[in-house]
Amino acid sequence: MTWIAVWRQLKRNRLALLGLVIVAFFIAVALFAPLLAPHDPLAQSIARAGETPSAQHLLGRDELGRDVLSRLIYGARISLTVGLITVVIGAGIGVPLGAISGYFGGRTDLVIQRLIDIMLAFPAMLLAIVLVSTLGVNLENAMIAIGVVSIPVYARLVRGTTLVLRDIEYVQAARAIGLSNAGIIVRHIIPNLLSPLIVQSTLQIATAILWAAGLSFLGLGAQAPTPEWGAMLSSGRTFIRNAPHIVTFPGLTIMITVLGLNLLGDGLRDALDPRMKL
Amino acid sequence: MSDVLLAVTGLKKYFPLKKGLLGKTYGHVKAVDGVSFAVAKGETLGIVGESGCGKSTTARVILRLIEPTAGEALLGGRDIFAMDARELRQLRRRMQIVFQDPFASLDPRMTVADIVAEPLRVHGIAAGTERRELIRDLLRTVGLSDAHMGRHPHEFSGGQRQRIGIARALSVKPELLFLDEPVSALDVSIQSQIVNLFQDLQQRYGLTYIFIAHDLAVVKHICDRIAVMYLGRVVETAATAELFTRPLHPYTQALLSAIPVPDPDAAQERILLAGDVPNPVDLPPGCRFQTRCRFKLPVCAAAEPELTDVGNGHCLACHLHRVSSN
Ligand SMILES: Nc1ncnc2c1ncn2[C@@H]1O[C@H](COP(=O)(O)OP(=O)(O)O)[C@@H](O)[C@H]1O
Ligand SMILES: [Mg+2]
Repeated sequence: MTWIAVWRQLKRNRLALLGLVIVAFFIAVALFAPLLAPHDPLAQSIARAGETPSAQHLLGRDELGRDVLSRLIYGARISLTVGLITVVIGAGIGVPLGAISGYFGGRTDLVIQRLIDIMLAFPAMLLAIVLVSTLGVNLENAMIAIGVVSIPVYARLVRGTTLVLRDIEYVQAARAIGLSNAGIIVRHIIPNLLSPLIVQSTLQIATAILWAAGLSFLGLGAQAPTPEWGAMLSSGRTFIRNAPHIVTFPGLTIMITVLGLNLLGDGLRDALDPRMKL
Repeated sequence: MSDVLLAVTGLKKYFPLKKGLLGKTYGHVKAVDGVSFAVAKGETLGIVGESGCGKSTTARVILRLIEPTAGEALLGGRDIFAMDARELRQLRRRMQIVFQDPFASLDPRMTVADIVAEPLRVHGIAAGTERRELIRDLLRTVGLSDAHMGRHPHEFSGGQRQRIGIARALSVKPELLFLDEPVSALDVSIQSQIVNLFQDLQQRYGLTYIFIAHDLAVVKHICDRIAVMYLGRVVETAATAELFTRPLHPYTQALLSAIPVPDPDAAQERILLAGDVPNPVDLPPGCRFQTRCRFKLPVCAAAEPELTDVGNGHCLACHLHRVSSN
């Protein structure tokens, strides 16, 4: 299945295209934040705190008089980083665990699966909170916590797919040829896991952004004055009556970004579905 | 039999059934339960039996894709199940397999060239342009062309995919090929083309085949001898002509009667198999075919019949024959 074929499938799905546009926009904003931001995201002006949107400050000023738009633009960098790093941690540990569990089965599988069960027994957010509190409260540890909490998602997905792939005839053919187990996992199992992994990761980035915002909102993630979306919501929430724009715009930004990632993920799931390609 | 290439004796493969948190074993699927047969060099042995009777498992165990529960398999006199990792690598070059499902047997992410190159890469056969030349030759041998090398499996028809799988199996120059229902998934019109290809290849390279099928019609023209399997056991083996003219086991007779005859006037009684197939986890004592047998005798419920030679290399595991010939 080539990327051209995926694109052809994706093009037919309007919602997925919308998701793609949102995600592309989000990534572009994150990459070019210094060029796009009209003001310094950290420059305070207490005297003009809470100003409503104007030509100078399109989304107004926050509770410390900072430019909300600029902070949101820089916040995109943080959210993109959070999304990518947590996925790298979650997939980096979850994929090998799941592949080993599914491929070798038996006692190895049993041990890994029981560990995963234990992790899944706690609500993810609660586990993340416990981890951050243990590791120390800052954004890096929040990313580690979210990454760790997403390990089971990857391990489960990969184990299930590997179980199917392990017995599929082309894997047996590779074994009959004399390819080693490691060779089979690297050459035949992982490449065929890529489609579900890409879909899962797109959705997982959305979840991670939401969780990071949640942790920051609770004061367990990004710390002031970092322009993180969740932290912006948190610090602006006391002014919701007098200056609702301070929380409305970060809230909308989180919502649209997460929606975009989900739409794209769902679209990719359909586009990459092997049953649709024949 | 002259020049035995593969001799299998008392082969068993039980799959454990597990349950519970700790995976406690509570029973076994006796997929292969005491299979014995031999194949001579250059011969084609058919293994025939209903789906689920253990044909693929037999092949997979002999190929060491899964470990046997018991039994012995000698390839050229060497015990396959006693081989260490180094000998096993050599074994991979002597025996290969062509699978049933042409859609599942090729990695969808690889090109045809990569698929055929993989065995060459693993065994360090040829390199660079020499390897590419070899792949080209292999593809031509199975009736494909150079132009196909860079394509992916999904761009091919079932028959073409099967040819790619055959090229892959041939790449290591094996002596023995397991053909696990290699034409069952193909259109009837394509089936004979592939069967012809197998026959050509056999002549050219002196290959030995174990041709697995779920009905007798397919194997009639390609096999020298046929082994009929029922629920994990061989119940009858004979030369193909002998088996078709003088089937002795009631199960073989039923399988034969199921083959449609071209001449509508020819008298043919279709023997329908009544009764239930016993669960391979929990087999009844005695003959495993007794629940569906038309000629069941009291002894059939008491003792499992052994596979014995009844003359001319015609082997049979049935009490009926011994009782009637006494
Ligand atoms: N990995 C496995 N685990 C458990 N049971 C299996 C496994 N593979 C095959 N079986 C069982 O073994 C029996 C024989 O299967 P198989 O050899 O595939 O039959 P055939 O190829 O003759 O159709 C079937 O009952 C099947 O369900
Ligand atoms: Mg089979």
